Amino acid sequence: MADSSSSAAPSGAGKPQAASKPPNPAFKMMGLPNMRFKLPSRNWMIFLTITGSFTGALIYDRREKRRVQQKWSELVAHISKESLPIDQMRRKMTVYLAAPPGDGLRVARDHFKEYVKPILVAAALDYTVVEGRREGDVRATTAENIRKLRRKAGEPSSAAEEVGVDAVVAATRAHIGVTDEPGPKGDLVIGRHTWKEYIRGLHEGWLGPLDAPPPPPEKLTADTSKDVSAEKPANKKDEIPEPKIEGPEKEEEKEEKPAKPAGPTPAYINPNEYSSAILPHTIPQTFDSSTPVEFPHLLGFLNTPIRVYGFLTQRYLAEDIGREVAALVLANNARPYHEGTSNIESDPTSPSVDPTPSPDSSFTDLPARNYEQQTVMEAAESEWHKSVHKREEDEKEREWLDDIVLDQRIASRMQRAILSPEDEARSQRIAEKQEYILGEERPAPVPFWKRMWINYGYGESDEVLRRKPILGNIDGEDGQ
Amino acid sequence: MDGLNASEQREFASRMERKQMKEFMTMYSKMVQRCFDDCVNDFTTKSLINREETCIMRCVDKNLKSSARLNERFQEQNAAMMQSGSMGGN
Repeated sequence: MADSSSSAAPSGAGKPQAASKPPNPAFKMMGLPNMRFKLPSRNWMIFLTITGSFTGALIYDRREKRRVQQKWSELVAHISKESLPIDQMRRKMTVYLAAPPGDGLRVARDHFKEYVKPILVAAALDYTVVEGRREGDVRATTAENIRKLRRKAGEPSSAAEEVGVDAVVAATRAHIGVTDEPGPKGDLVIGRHTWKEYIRGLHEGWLGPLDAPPPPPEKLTADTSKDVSAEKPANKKDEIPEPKIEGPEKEEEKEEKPAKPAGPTPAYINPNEYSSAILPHTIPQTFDSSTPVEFPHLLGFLNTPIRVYGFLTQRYLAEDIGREVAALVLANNARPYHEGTSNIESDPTSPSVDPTPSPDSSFTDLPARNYEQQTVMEAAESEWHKSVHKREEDEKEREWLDDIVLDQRIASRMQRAILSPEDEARSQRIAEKQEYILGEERPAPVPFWKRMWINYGYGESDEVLRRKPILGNIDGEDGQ
Repeated sequence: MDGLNASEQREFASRMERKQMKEFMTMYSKMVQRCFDDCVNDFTTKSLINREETCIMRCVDKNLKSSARLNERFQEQNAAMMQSGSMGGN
């Protein structure tokens, strides 16, 4: 309290001086009290400092975030200006979206809308979303899409192709002569958990069997782990009798399927069978480039400070995500994922096997950690809620917990979209307001008062002015 | 349509033709009106100035292309509806 008394002394000293000054006569006539400037009380100061700095940080962050997103949007906006022939459909991205561990799908959707979608919209790109409500959904859908692709490419399959709306629309398009816009498509994978499922689904789709194909050595695998173990010895062989065994079993499973509640279909292939699987001849030399997108999602009450920090630094997240998405949208630069980067850590509990065709003997026991795909966004895994990390006894597959196992043949076909140095430099210039959308001049900024006058007053914006009729001199001599 | 004799069918066909013609003319005049309103605003000269001309070209192009695209989508949806209808019938 000594502090307060000492601080009171100078203010007390100041008082007579201020009081001696006669109040403003105008104020006095209006009946206002003698107004003097003084600091608010200590409690008010504390309150104002805290709320003020928080609000300031928040506003600053959102402004910066908006500028960053503006920058990335302007970087890709020229794509939206290109005209598309009427017999072509717009390039279509695939967005993989799954409910984050321990939470619902809505959070993931919000994250997508907040950070990814603005850039896709700026480039006027079409996209499909592969959504997963629970673990395994994305994996199942990805694999099924690839299997459909393979069947369509002419691989023999006994699976009855059900004719959905999509198929009918596609057939009509082929009939009219509507084609897809040429150019690379791309896969946007949001979050580490989705990434894991995506990789797994990619392997399952390309390496796994197409239901029950007569010639290849594979089978469809079972719904329960028991069946897997029972079938495995038979699976490995390339024998002819197998299809016979398969027939009834296949039907059996077909009957089961509709009865099951909506859950992801179990995987058709086990990670440890990757290396023995035969590549389908329909597999492309390289896949469409993919982009992992960060999705920080921290749960738990005690993590509130970390969450608040994240809440106030969304600009960095927007910057990172914007760069990744813009790279995929521009699609003029892609590199294969790094291979053999490092053998960082070994997790003795992990059941994974080394998928490389010629594994180094020293590496065989360790989980294979020599692909970039395995380490992408790895830090996010420790942020998952502990209930997700719990493994149950008789559980089948846990896509989120199992280590990522890669087959060299698939891994080397994957590509990651990156921003070319020129585009990087251009984004820098756009951020500094030196440039604008390709082939366009940055419009002159409209002052605040003018905007208000246009929006709420009698002002007219340039576009409106340009469309106003120019009548010339009607009343004059030459007008008549 | 089956219960019509030859002269009635001819009458029917001509009416349909007239109706289609009318529809087409409506669409056309609407487009002309729109593009004129949007593009032509300089009445100090008799001729179209350069800017107006490009604007008109673009406007017509846009209109035609968008209706063509719309038509394509309609065909697709139509096929899809037929499909789902036949599936429901089975």
